[in-house]
Amino acid sequence: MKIKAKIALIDAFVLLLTIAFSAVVLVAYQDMKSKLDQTRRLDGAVGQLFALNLALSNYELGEGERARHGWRVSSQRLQRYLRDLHDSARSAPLLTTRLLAVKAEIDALHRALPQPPRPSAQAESTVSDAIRAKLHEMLHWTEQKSAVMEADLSRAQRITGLAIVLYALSTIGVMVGMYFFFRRTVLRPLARLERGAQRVGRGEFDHRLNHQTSDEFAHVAAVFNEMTANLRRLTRARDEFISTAVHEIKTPIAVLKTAVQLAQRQSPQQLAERAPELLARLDRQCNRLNRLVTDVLDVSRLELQRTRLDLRPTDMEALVERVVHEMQPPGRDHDLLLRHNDPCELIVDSDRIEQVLINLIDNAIKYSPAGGDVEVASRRRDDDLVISVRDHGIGIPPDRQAHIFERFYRAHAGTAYDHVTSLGVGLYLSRQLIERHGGRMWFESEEGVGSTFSFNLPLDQPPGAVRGAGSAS
Amino acid sequence: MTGPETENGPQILVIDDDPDLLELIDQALTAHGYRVGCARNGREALCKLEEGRPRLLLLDMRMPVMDGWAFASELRRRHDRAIPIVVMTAAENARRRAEEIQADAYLSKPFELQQLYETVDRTIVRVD
Repeated sequence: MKIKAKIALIDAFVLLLTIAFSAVVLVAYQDMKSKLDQTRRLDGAVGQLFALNLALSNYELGEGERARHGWRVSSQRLQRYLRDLHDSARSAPLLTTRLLAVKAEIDALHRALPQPPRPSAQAESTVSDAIRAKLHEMLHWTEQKSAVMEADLSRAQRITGLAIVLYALSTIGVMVGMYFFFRRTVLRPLARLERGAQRVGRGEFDHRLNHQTSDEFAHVAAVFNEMTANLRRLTRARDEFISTAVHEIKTPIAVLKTAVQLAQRQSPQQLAERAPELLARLDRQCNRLNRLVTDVLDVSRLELQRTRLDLRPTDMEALVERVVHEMQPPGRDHDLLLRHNDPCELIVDSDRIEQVLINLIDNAIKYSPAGGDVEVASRRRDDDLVISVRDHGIGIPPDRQAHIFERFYRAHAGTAYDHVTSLGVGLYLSRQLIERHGGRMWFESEEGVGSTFSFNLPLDQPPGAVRGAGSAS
Repeated sequence: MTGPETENGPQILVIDDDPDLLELIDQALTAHGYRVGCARNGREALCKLEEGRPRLLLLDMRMPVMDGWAFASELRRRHDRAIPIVVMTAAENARRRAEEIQADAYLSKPFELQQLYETVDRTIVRVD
């Protein structure tokens, strides 16, 4: 599972937790608030009941008008408190209805009170006793009501408190869980990646990262392993290149040294006799050395992007003809044929293009050991010139075709056609040079049938790009 | 130092893909009194061995068609009494190359002519 998905799950969980907690606390708060209101109103109602009681006492003391006034004021207030109580306490309407009924009875009794001057003592006491009883009944109800509300209030308090504690605990739990989650899924793989990068940095290109899960780090590990594999391949190719280069350069030196020492041991006559042969040999080996050193230099320069192209208008038809003429193989096994040669003038570095063409023809001859025609063609198309070299040689095995233009890659390494004078840079150099000219190089090849290597050069060269590449450095 | 050129000197087969070097070693060893056969690669050398057994093989390692390693193992497979081999290589570690194919001696290219003579003489004598 991806880390992103896991984090989304954790987020959703925390969100749900917060919503649930907020809902519980909000409901408990609303409940508490309404109960506080009811309590306050009940308090008011109880106060008025005491006022009514006081008014009744005044009446009994014979203060008729005063009592009547006090009674009315208290009664009206009581009415209001009870109505409020009724409105806010919908949870217990029965209770307040009962209270209202008691109050109405008290009012009726009040109206029934005889007016002063003083009526009969008996009638007086009957009514006032009834009023007092109703008052006590009402007081009793309010007390009960008050007790119920107090219980509700403390329950709401408990629920709120519990919700807060639970929320705090689960928040702590989630945070601890997140710590372990991140340590396992992010921090540890990161540390492993860091250690791996350090080891690769120290040159241990064999190091591989193992990541069993299927999250983002598995992807990173795969990319990392691909990188080290590439580095490994590159380093191996470079090591091979160096040892091949050393080997190749030492071989002509060995020939030169042996030839010179042999000459030193010969008599003047022998030496004079063999001089032309000896000098031709020395010349050949010097040329070979020079070519090898140039190859090595070219590769290093290309690496550093330091190749300067000497761009001049060039007669391509003459160039192709000259190269084909000069490359005529000495043996009778091969025939180098110029099949087609269109006239064309291009602005190129003629030495470089010549180098590329020589390289392609050289390969064509080298890799057709059984002989056969090597055909060169230069064709002008609408917007480019295509030059191709075709052989009927051994071809390139399909599994090696993808690497053919890689630096230091020798398609026939380890086979019978592993030619020792090849540094494995020819095609790499050639393609780089053609690309610097704004062209492309490609090939078609079938094992056992032959290969055709081609490159094109645009007729209408983008001068900015080509000159820019040429004057870079 | 040039020894007498004889028809009866011990025969040496030189195996190297570089025609110039092959010819030069041929000249040098002939001048030193050996009879010399030449081969351009391991396969050619195996053919030459069918015709007659030389007293020593001078073997280059990196060659097309059949290299020194393949040649040495093929040689040991075909002939139970092996012919002494002197490895000539331009590789960086000539001694290791020689050990790899259990050669009797080695020469690091480029070598002094004197070294060539000494190594060849010593190896042939020792085996005798």
